[in-house]
Amino acid sequence: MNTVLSRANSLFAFSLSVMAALTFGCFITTAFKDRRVPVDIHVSKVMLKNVDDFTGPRERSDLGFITFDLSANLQPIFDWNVKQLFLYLSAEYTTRNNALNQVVLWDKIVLRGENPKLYLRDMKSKYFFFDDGNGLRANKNITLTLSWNVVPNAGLLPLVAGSGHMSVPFPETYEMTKSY
Amino acid sequence: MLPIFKTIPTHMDYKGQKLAEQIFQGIILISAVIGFVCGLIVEQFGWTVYIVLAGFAVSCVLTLPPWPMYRRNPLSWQPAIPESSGESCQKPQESIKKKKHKPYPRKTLAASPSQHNHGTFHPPYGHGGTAAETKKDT
Repeated sequence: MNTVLSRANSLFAFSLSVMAALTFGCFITTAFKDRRVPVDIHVSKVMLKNVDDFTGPRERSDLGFITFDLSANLQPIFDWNVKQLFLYLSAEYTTRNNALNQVVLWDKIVLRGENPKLYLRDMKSKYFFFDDGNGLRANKNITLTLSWNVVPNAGLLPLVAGSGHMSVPFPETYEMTKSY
Repeated sequence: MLPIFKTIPTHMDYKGQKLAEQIFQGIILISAVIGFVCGLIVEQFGWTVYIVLAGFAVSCVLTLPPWPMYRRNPLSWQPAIPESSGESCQKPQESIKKKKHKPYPRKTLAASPSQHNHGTFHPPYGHGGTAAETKKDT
């Protein structure tokens, strides 16, 4: 403390310690918060095809096409420890081979400061809804769930499932692809 | 350039150092509390960070330069004594040197004949003399 440099050193170290304590306080104030929010999912159109899956088993697999509406108010999730939300819509279903299949159909990043009120209509899925066999045909219980990953300033990265599911029955016949 | 830097005073006395440490800790802690409350109300952690940084800057200005308030209690040194300080420093070094060097040659002189000759005394170069005698006989 007798020279300028030693004073600057202790001042800087003390400020950093205080900043770390504040960051921990920011984490503590939001650690036990419930980040679930009601989500309304509506499926307007379902189509099923049987096509060649060149990425997977090299056989004809089921490919589903879903058109959906989505509305949710994400405003209660955001607080001072949330930088962004990573939303993803996943389909869960059981087949004869697997007890649980999970396919991510669509995702979206909502940054802090953007419009947190989600109101989307007639959305097409971003990613292919491929089954690894023929499990989609006549599957009566395919559940769509919107979940989100909360990206914080400090602390944990929780994965939260929105409350609000949508069960979709898939058709029993394939949509025939037109051959030109 | 260097002499100019050396003329800038950077020194604080002991009470001034304690006062400076208390001042910067107080300022940063108060700004931390204010920033935390502000950030919690506004729901922006960035405000907290900026307010703590502002407290850091204020305490830098207040405590890094040795302001006169930190130099009010200078140490009262004894006045310098001009004479006889140099002689008293040199004397003990000389006495140590004498004590170390005096016994060393005495011991080696006393020990060397008894160790090498095992009690019997031979004059130096005595062995060469016997070799010369054998040559005379033949």
